[in-house]
Amino acid sequence: MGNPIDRKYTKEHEWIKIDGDIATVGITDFAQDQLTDVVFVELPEKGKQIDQNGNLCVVESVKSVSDIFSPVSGEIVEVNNALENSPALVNNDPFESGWIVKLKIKNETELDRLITPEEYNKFLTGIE
Amino acid sequence: MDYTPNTDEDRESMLKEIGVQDIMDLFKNIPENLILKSPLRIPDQLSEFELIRELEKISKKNKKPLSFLGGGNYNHHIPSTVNAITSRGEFSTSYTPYQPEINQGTLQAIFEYQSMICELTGMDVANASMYDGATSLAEAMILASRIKGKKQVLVSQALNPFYREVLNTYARASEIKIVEVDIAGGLTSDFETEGSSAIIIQNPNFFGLIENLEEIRKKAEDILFITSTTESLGWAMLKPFSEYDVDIVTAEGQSFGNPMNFGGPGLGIIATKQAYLRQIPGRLAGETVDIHGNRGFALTLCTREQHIRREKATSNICTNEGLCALAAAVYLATYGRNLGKLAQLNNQLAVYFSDKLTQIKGIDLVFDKPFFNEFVVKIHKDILSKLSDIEIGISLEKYYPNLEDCYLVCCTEMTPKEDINRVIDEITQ
Amino acid sequence: MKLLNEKSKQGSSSFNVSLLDIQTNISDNLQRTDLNLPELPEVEVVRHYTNLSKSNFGVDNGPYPLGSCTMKYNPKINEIAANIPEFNIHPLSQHNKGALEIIYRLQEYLCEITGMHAFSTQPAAGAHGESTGIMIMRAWFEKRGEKRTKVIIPDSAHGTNPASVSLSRFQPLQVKSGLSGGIDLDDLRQKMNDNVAGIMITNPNTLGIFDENILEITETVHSHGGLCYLDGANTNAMLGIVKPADFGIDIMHLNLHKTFSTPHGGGGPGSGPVGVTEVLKPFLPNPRIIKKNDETEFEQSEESIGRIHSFYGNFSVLLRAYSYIKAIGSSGLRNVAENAVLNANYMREKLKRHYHLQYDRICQHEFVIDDSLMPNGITTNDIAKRLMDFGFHPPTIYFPLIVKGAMMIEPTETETRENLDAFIEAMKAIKEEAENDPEKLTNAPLKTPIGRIDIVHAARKPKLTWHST
Repeated sequence: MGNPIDRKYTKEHEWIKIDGDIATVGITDFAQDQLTDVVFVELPEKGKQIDQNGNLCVVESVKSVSDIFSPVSGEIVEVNNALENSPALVNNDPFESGWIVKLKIKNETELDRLITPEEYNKFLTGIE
Repeated sequence: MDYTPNTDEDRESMLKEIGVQDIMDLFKNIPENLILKSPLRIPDQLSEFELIRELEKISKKNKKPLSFLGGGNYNHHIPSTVNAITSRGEFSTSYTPYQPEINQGTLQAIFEYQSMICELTGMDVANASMYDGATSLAEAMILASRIKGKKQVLVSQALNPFYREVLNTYARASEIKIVEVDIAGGLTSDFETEGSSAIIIQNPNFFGLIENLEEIRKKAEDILFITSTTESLGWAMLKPFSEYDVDIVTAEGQSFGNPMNFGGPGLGIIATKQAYLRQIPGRLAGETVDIHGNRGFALTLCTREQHIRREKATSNICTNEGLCALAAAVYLATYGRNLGKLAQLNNQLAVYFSDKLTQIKGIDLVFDKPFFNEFVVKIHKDILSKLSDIEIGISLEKYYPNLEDCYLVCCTEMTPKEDINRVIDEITQ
Repeated sequence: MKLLNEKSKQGSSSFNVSLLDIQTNISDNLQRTDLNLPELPEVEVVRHYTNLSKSNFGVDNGPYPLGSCTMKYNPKINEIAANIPEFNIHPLSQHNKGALEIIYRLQEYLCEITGMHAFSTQPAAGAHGESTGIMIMRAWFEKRGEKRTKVIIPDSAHGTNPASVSLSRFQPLQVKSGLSGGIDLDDLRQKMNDNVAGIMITNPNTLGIFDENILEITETVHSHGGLCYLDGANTNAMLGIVKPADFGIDIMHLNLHKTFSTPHGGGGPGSGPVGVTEVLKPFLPNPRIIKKNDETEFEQSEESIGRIHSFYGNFSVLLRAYSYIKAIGSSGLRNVAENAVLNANYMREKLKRHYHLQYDRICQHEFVIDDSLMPNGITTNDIAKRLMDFGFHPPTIYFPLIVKGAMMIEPTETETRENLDAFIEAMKAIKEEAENDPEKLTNAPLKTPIGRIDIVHAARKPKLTWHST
């Protein structure tokens, strides 16, 4: 699976797709592959304020529990409730239906700290 | 006795294979000056018959008079089925079922045990065991504090005094403040929930009395309601905790098929509502399937546990009280519905004893309220001297200074009418 | 196999209870109206559990080289000892001198074996001992008015270690393992300072290696006023050979269900007595069991961390451990360590010809191999599942975390040479299958009562009782 070019990334293997002042966040294909089968996603409450690098959610697989940190600060406006019954969406479709939260961005300048798809691909080849 | 089967020949050829001369070559990482040069100052080996003879000699320093002691540890009959099963090596010499395919026995037994505990308590999920009633309560306290985010809990003074000591130890370590709730007439009195995460109530309480759980739930609407039970047999007679919307049930399960054994091992029980499923400490056995679609069981939600989550784990517990839980499962399966009758019998004997005792001048029932199989009487000192070869109950003044000359008396099916009548005769003679 | 509730038949129970003609004092509205426990006749209860046991595997069935758990043979004489009727008394009985004698003597033996000055038998398991020991550490620094916030833990540590440290609100501070498997001394020296309460180490460590720098390690910690805690899970390799007190340990726990042969019970009961040096004695849990004028009695210490168990710990487990120590005696204890280490090194030497051994050096009672040389994408998990078909319980897998695809093997001293060879042959055969017939491994186990279990399914839709749908 290639990393879509319509969004930005972090070195913690999260992707973030911006639409106006709303950011959709999820984890990358590399991340879901590392986690193996996701069994549960602990979603935050709507309305919660998150700082950049603050705890966004917890993704649980059979082998591990991973804290996902927010790439930007903002307010949670929507969470992907489909994950409650189908946590496997994170594994099967990490970039689309496996999205996790939508945030209302607080500070646009934070977006500069995110990396481009090319930079993320390069980063991955470094690890693998 | 020597359980190492290696012969001299074995040792010699294995050393050769490894490529060393002497067994001590295998310990060369240890600084030379630390290696012990003389044997441990412990007596040398014994044969089985010598060993048993010695142990029996020591055991004779114990005595087992007629006893009415309860207060957290109970003398119940252990059905013959229990030991027949728990002594099977397949169960007793295995460990935690990390490899489910060759441990379906343990896993299904735990699954069934969890189910029966939920049936008794009305809760949605129970774990595979904790160390004992006191530590499972301590873990519930920490859990509640984590869920509600307030580092303060309310604890009734009618909670077993040893349990309160253990709570204090864990509260100090976790920096949780304990606020004690007074008792009035042996029952938990009024309290304010402001600033607290939970209230902890023992039921039946330390004095054997049945608390007003409905009232307490109403007053504790905004915090977690945690119960502790030391005599779990009472659950077979009393309304399940789910009827009172209790959030977390903890208990000592020793009454279910485990001997007194001088206080251990116990069987810690913790059971909660579905909402706290991912917060519950310890092991959980869950139903699943194998690759052929056959029903099977496995440990599940392990990622909350220490071996994966490490410092963020729900608890540090690893080895729990597996065989004790198995004993409890066999016990519950053996009695089945008749457990309710056993509970009733315990209650009847306690009522009988308390009635007979209080008819005697110099003995008074301290709390004239419904109790299960334990009750508190005040016994005049003169009468006590007539009972020197009987353990009439736990002296309470050490733990409750205003309960001078008061004793907590426990009756079970092991102290039938015959034994009770003997006590009455000894006093009235 | 059917569940108890699926076999239940109302009215079939063998355990009838006759009631007395006495009125209860509990009103109807407080009593339950139904109790849906399964009802089976005694014969069916016994058959149910007997048949369940056939789907189980214990040390009594075959070799169980589960690394770090010390699955040695559990002598049956210990069961006889534990069932002596006079020992089955109430914990608050006054007629307890026999029971107290056992606890006291066991404490003394554990002191002699480890060099510690005093033990508490209250902890019910190793992890319980760990958290108790860390509480003692905290109490020590509180008494001295020192505010220390961290405890150093090596990256090879068992998960209970950081979990226990967190319980007392200390922050675990990780220190690296060096290339030879021991603690990286430079990293330790960098991290140890006056803000660190001490170190929590396992020695021999989880790689089965006795850290030759142990004296420098404890000295480094002590020089900054810190305390050294030993996770004594691996004491099987040290009995009669070396005493932890001699290499600078201040607090430690022992696992009686590991080193001292008490049965693992399918997950307990265990026992994790905690031992301390003289200066830390006052902090041990209350009450302590001591001897005054040759009589055992309870003692309360004002500086104690308090009670950590409802009574005195798992007494019948203590009794079994005492029985074991008496049975094998002083020379027997040393024999245990020598043979445990011999057996492990023999297996290591033979298995390294077929499997990758990251730390190719003399080990103590256990060693770690991994799946890095396995062809056809075969994993440690596959190897473990296939071992079951050969009649062995698999070793510990995926631990320690510092070795990818780890398989930790601990044969123990009670295994025969023939069994060690049989295990080695099985591992050889599995390696060959990995090369020539990998499907046998990925589909394993093939000969067990149930096939490979779907743990993802178990976690995605947790069904934890027979009530839930």
